[in-house]
Amino acid sequence: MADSQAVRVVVFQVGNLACGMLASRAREILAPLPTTRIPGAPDTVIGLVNVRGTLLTVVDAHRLLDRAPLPEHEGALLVVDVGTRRLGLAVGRVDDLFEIPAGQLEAREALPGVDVRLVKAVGRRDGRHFVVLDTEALLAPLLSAAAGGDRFNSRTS
Amino acid sequence: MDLNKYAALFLAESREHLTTCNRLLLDWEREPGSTEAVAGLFRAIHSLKGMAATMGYGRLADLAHRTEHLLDAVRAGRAPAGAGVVDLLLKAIDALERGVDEAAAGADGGFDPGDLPAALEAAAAAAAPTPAKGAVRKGKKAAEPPAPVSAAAPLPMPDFGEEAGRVVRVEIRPDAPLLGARAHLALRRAEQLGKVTGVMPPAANFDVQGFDGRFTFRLDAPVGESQIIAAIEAAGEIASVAVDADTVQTAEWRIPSAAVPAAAAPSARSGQIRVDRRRLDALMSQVGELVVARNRLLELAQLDPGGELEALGARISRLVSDLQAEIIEARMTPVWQVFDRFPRAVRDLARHLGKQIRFEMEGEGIELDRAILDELGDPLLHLLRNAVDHGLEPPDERQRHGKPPEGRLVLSAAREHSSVAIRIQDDGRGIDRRAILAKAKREGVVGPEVEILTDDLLLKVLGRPGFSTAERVSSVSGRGVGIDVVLTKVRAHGGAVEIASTPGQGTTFTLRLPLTLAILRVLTARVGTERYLLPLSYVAETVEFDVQPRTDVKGREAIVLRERVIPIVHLRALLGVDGGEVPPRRPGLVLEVGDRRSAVVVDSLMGQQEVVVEPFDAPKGTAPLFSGATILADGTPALILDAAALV
Repeated sequence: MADSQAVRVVVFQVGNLACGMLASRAREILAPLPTTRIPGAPDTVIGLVNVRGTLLTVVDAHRLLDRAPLPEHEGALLVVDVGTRRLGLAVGRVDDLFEIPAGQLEAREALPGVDVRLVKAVGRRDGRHFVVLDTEALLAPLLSAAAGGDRFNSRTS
Repeated sequence: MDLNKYAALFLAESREHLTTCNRLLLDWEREPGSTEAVAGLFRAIHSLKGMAATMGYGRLADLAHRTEHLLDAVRAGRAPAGAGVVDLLLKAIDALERGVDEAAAGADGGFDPGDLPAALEAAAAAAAPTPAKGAVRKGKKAAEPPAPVSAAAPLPMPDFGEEAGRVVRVEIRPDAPLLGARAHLALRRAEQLGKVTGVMPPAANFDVQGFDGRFTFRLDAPVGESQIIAAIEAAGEIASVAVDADTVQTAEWRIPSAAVPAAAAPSARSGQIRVDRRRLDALMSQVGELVVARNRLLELAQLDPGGELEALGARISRLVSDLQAEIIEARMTPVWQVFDRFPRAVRDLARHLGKQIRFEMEGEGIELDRAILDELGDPLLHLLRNAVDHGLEPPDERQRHGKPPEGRLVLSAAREHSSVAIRIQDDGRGIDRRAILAKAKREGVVGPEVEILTDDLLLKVLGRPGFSTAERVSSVSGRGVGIDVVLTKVRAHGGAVEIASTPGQGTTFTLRLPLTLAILRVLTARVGTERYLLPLSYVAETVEFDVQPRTDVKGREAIVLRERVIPIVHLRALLGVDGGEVPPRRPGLVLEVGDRRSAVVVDSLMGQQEVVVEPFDAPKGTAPLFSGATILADGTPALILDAAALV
């Protein structure tokens, strides 16, 4: 990445971790919504929510990153694009949305307690570090590889 | 006028004609003496030619013309359908299909029929008897007047010469395709001669439902009557042109107008109108939202029993239901629209594999929601291919087993309760269960203790993604390849698949589909603190579970209902619901899918409602028990259980 390029980043809390993601992948930030459990889905999946008439599967960032989950109705819901799909990501407080020169993001530097494969880069803001999550790596494994993209279809076996 | 707006219409109508051609060609091949098939082919190709010419697709029209010419020669010469001619015509239909697609996409100029035109010419010359010319003419006149030039003489008309120009009355042949486009074209020819005024009905109404092809206008041009007639007739499909027509008579033609109800219009075509499917889909989805809003309104109305809101709610509810029913009705489409392409595919594949197959279709008039039907083409084609490739034996093998050399393959549709059953039935060798079982055991799909594959188990094994894509099992016993894809598609639409196979006698696949998928009547069941929805069409009855006599069938709990043993499904356990107290008296929902039943035990029932089925992204691991989800009146999502997965 060239220095002249700037990236927009959303920064939020997941447990004690300061996280960020590329704003280009985040559709919107919502307050938590009533959730319907999906039987059989992994623990990391909270369930389905209704975002203005569209159903969205919500995944808990805390469980994905081995942090203690938040009590219900707390935190925020990021609507995230993963490939051609769209998912909800339940996070803690959303702190900031800002532009940062691409040069100030360091590629894949591990922070203690985070799986390095889920980290796209590490940035620094006001003297604090935050990890820019690789949302593809984080979320794509949860999606069923429904060939042909039958979104209805819940049968994976 | 912009002809482009007719491109979609042209595409749809042309495809219909070509599908008809395919069907008729196969009929003809079966019954080479049939003159009906040839006459029908001729009509379809003739219409296609007319439409292509109207649209200005020269190359396509030319190929259609040559095809028509061959048909004409065959018809006149009463030549039997030699395999060579049928094959050539099938090729021509394929090329025309390509040409239609390309032309509609705006690339008629790029359409290249290869050496087909020459082959068609040669075949036409060979098919016709020696004094071809006279016979051809005669044959042509008998069924179909020649297209481009009408011989109809203009009627003598009184001279109304006071105003500028002359009154011209045109009548397009009422059976002409793209009536409106043709009228525009005729008008354009007139405009090339001079000033056109007072078009009646107005040209904008040519495209309106009910336009019957008759219109008048005033033409101020320095040319004679015969020139006017010749120019307009050059537009083609003209029944008559009258110059200096009596304007008074035109009054009766002012019927075509958007305001006039279809029933009042005189044209035979007026009862039908083509609507872009996307519009129907948009309407459907809006009605869906309306249904959700209505449900919410009814909830609010319940807070004030006997109040004005309740009365209004009931009224709105009825109106919404009616509206919904109307739109669903409008989306219903007969299955032949999809079935029609199969005879050709089956025939081609059978030929390729050296098999003799009698392919029959039944119940083509049965209707299904267009959205379901559109998704059904590929799975059905897949099952038919499997039947031809693996199910039905080659003629010699059939004879060795004392069967007629010609295999029978039947595709049928039938209404059963509130669903439609589509069956693909062959009288082939049946599925080799032993081979499938052995393979399933090797792959660990079933345990080593399993001794026989029941039909249900067979389907489960075959329905596993990728099962039998490898090895010979698919060619020995067939049926494996891609059954999972079929299952997935059908279940995604709330349907179910059944299989029945008898060695030596054949295999039947049954696809059970709801009439419509967008809106579902469901029963809401509560389990713990959660709510789940069950499609009402599969609920045979509800019983009080805790008072029913119980029994044990092969280690599985069951109830006995009217001397029938029905296995029990505890939804609480199945879905891993904890929390909430288990009530002492629980209802059991008896589900019925095909001839399979089960009693689903829930905590309580919360009534019926109509819901709009919404897609959702099922994460990995999701229990394979759901056919979709919806948003309830209070705004929360709820999952819809797949009845077929519970029985």
